[in-house]
Amino acid sequence: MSGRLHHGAGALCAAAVGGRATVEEPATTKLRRSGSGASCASSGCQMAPPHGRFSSGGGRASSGGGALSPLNCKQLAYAPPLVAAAPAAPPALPSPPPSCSGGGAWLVAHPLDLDSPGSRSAGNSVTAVIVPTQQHAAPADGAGACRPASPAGGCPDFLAFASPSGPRVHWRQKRTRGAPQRPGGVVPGLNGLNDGVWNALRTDTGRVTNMAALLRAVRDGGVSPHLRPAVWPLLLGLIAPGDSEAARADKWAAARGEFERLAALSADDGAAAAYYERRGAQEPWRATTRRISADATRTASDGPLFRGAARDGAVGRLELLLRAYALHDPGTGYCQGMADLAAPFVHLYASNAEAFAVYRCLMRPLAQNFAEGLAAIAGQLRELRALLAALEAPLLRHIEGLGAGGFETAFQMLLLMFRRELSWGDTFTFWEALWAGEALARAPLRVHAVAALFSARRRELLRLESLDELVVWVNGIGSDPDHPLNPLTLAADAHQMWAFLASARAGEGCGCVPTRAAGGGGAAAAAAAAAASISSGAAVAFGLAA
Amino acid sequence: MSISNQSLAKYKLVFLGDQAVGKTSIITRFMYDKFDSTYQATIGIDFLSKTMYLEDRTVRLQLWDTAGQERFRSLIPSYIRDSSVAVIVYDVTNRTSFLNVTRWVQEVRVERGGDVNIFLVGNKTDLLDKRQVSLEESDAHARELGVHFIETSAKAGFNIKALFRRIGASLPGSDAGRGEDAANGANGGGPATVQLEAKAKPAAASACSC
Repeated sequence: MSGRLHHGAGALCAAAVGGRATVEEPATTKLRRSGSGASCASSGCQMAPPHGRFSSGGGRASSGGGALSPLNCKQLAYAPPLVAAAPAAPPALPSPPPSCSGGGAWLVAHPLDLDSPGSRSAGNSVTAVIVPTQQHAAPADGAGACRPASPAGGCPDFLAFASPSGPRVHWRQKRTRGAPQRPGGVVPGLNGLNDGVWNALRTDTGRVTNMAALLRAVRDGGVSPHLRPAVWPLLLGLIAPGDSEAARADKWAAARGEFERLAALSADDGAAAAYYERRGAQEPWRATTRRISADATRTASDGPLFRGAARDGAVGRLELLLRAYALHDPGTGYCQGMADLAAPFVHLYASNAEAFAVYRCLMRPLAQNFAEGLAAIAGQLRELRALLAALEAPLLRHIEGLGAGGFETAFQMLLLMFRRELSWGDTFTFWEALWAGEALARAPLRVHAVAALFSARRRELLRLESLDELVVWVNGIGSDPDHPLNPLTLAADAHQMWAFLASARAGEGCGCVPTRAAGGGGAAAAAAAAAASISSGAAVAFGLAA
Repeated sequence: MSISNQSLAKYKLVFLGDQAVGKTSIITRFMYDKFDSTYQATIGIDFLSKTMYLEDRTVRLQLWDTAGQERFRSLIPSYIRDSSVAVIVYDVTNRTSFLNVTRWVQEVRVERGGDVNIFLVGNKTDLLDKRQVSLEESDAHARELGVHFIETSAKAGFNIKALFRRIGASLPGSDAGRGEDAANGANGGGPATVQLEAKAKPAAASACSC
């Protein structure tokens, strides 16, 4: 790739996406981060700073492709703008719960998390590796430059694709299609949240100074395995970014106390049964413990801790964790699949209390998925269908033709967040990247991840001729050596699909749309309408409104 | 191969029953003649198919494996709508799973009426000292419900072939198969074997010609 960088007003506006040719390779552009502010000076289009992978090295600015145009700036705005383009966020977000938000809803409220100039990392130069995210080229003459609806309004990046002379409108960009597929799985931490980034983004006392940057690093590159025990509580909302050392210690202590109480209770079958059954349990305690034991012994056999000599100990710990959780939330109790979600926490934390504390945060938004009647999951399957209806109509018609329009086939990947489809190590990477994306989007993206996968594999899907072929395909999706699942691509695609729809939604109120030709505008309007209809349902389906 | 597969009669079998009774293990023993005590719990649904050679014809069995978790039941009906055979499995060492059989049978009947052959399968007969449900009781219950009955051990490989042999014989238009089934002393509703057989020689099932 060749080209030049554009440093406008100290802004990090370089995009390296000058033309279509630049997207032929998933090359990254390194540039030096220089100071504060993040607007594309030449465009008049305010936008959030481009997301990127931050590493602590002193990389130098290298080249980008071609000159920047206003649209190029927008093309970087893959990350839903947190500051400038408020319309990109889904409407009617709930107020953040006090803790364990699970989806990072605290982002909304916390003073330190946004990319305001003051929150930049202590004035140090941080190297950002920018991945060109939206490859569709802008019209060379810049005729598509959009006029923001208001001075503060963001320019919906879908407009770049909606150009009549441009390529077909599609949510997915070549970056992800061309992302390197490493057969051995990704190496988390290589480009993601490693020691250097982690230290650069925190104060001496461990407060996070720039949560948005941290989230972007995690979303784009995962977390170094040894940092996970510290980072996951942050991603899952147990710890807030601005918590002081004392506040963190208090939270851990409270969680530990709760676990110890429940663990002691679960050791006494009589007391546990009385406690459990008095608090809305669906079945006798004995039935629950029996089912927990049956599943704990056959879960996570791909996890290193769950094999060999350590196995019995790990299984026992998993059992204890699940019992404690059942007592903590008797209405949910234990349901199959929860063991799959809990096993990584047993692996991650040597302390049962810590594993429980963080797992509990994971389950806060997910517990409803396991509730009697499966209403929440049913809502998410409808949401999946709506996403595909909006973005992959021919594919949806094909799947319906196979008799799978209810999407029960996607139940497992949705419920277990790809735990069964991904390898043990990749599961961690995917989860953390997904959570970071959810925190940035302030919306759950699990359904988007599934929809994105279906969309990305549409060619394979369109070849299937029967429901059984579809089930076999879905169940074998993680073990196809020719098409290994890349956890970061999966998470990035989910975020990207969400961002596309959010942009389309925002575009409804943007003066840009009428300037477009009917073809592109029509498609964009359709996507916007679909996005609007989806978002309201999604909030309900995910219990966000609760 | 693909042409002959196309022309084969296909029959859909759905496997139902409580959590951890051995549905996946029975299918895996039948498909691959393997057993592993650490099969993951089935979440949602799985599908496998196998060609089976009966006396007078060859059929394609489509096996639908389901999750036993009660809360997942709402996902199941759409898959059993056009099944020819429902295999309802319980664990002979878990009385609750046996008591729940009635509900599973009802569920299938509600969905399929009389257009389905139901097989009641008592699995895990290898766990002799843990048995909570006797052969006699199960047999009587199966007769009461009007369903076929057999005991198996997926772990020992006991009676798995016999089960599928009988399923094959029960399929519509399978006269020769039915004759052989009767010759094995296992017509619908009767016990396929006696408990002693399970103790003495699990390999007895291999006497079956399938």
